[in-house]
Amino acid sequence: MEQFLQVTISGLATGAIFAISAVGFALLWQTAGAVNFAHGEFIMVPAVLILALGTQEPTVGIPDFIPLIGGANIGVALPSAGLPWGLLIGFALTIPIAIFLLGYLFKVSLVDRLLQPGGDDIPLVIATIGLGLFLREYVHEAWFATPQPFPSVFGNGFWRPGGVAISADDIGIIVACTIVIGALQFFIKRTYLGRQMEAAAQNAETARVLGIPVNRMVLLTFAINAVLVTIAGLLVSPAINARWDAGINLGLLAFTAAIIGGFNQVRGALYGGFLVGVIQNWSGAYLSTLYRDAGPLLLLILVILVRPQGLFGRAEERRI
Amino acid sequence: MTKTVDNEPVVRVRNISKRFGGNQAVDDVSFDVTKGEILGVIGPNGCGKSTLFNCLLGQYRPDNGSIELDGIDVSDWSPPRRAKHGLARTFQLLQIFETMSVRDNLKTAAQEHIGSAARRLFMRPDMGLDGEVDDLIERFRMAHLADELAGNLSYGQQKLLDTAMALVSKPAVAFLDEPAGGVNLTMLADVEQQIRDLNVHDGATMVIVEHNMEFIFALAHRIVVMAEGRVLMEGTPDEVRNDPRVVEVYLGGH
Repeated sequence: MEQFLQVTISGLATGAIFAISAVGFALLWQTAGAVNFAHGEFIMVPAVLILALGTQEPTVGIPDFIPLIGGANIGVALPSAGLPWGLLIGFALTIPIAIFLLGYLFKVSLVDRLLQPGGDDIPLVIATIGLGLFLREYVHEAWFATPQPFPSVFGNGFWRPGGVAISADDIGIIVACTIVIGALQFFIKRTYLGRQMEAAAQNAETARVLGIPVNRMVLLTFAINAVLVTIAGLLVSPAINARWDAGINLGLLAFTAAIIGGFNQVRGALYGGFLVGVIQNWSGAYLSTLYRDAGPLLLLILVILVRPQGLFGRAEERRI
Repeated sequence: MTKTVDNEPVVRVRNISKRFGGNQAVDDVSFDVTKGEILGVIGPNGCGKSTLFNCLLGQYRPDNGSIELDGIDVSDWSPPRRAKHGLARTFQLLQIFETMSVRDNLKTAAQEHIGSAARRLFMRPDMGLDGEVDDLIERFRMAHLADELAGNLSYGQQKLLDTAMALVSKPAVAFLDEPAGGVNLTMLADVEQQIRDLNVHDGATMVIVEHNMEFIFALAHRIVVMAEGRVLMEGTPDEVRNDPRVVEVYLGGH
């Protein structure tokens, strides 16, 4: 029983990360019709950036990878106060970079060029596969080829209430993801911009007729996705290290989560994420660690066979 | 019903033409829309009514011609910009947001017309629209459906919501593409009543494309008859009804 609880809680934590990654994936699909096969790399790159920008803790320095002036220490020492300052600074610096690179630049340089209204989406699919490959190899060649340890924002604490080992990291992840998801849901359902965004996602033509700047809304979802993947990178890396090949698995599982839940609904991607995390942990603990990813993939096959719109998705017709 | 209309044209359509390949869908169409009137646009299938709407509202770029709103040429404006300046429309096929509630659909349709974009960002989430939106819902007799997802409504109710969405922002002119299309007989009287009510009490100006002749003859002050992309004639419902050319077009054999 203790083991079951333990496995389930850490599954929920992993699942929470898959959930926010899958939601980002789903948002791009809904508003832009874009399927991003570099999604895993979009989680890996911010993680690497956070590490690069935040490793000289607890001082703010110029990271090594910037040519000429890299490594210089402009040295503002921060009071530690028990907080992982380097990590937080790295995170704060990565957010705008991610929004620019993975949001804006991705949209205008690839998505807008390759995804014509009413056109074929295969060119974009191939381009994002290529982009993923490029990002992976770039990090491998230019930064580091061996996995780098990545500290957790929530520390390494453990609690043992009633013999169940619960890590501070897992609880922190679940709480953080719940807050992020709650804020996102509030934003989409209850605010002016959120309504604009949902309207643009559901029916771009009508949204335009109502005066909604659809293109700006699509850009906004790309920015939100960039923030979500950065958060996912920050939270997932302590468990798997910052590594150049992290995106392969993360992308596959976020994609699996989105399809299982149904990725034409934010809610679907959300539940799908949690489901994949928990099932992954269960199959790892009770079948074999070798079969960790087999559980979610079996479920994926089942869902595609029985309920192709996803467990929580709406059936949708393909417009041609 | 008294059909009173003053004579100030709010929209001026001049010489609109649109060709698709070898098909002249709209051919040199001109008319005025007067403030406070309901203008009907009728004609057999394929006579270019919907294409005309798409040209006027910016979905298509016409090959020729212009549209003026309050004396300003808006021919080069994007659809959102036209919407913000008071040109609203519905489409022949339903265009509602199915996973939003009826109330949120109307809010989404109304919110673009409040203040500046920057101000809207910092307003309360309901944008102060709750009262106004609930009012309209009440008038459309949909109060019991306000929190229902639009996708769960009956077709007639969705059609009514569609029309309400075009009118909630109090546009200068609302272009309605077949508001009665596919609506069952019991609902039809309702739709007619709401449209007349909005026109008489709120002075809403509307251009309505419609196939249901009884419906449009009862509502419109003036009717433009189109055939093969051109304006065949223009006149009051009585004039149109008694015009031999119209009868000929509708009975075939043109």
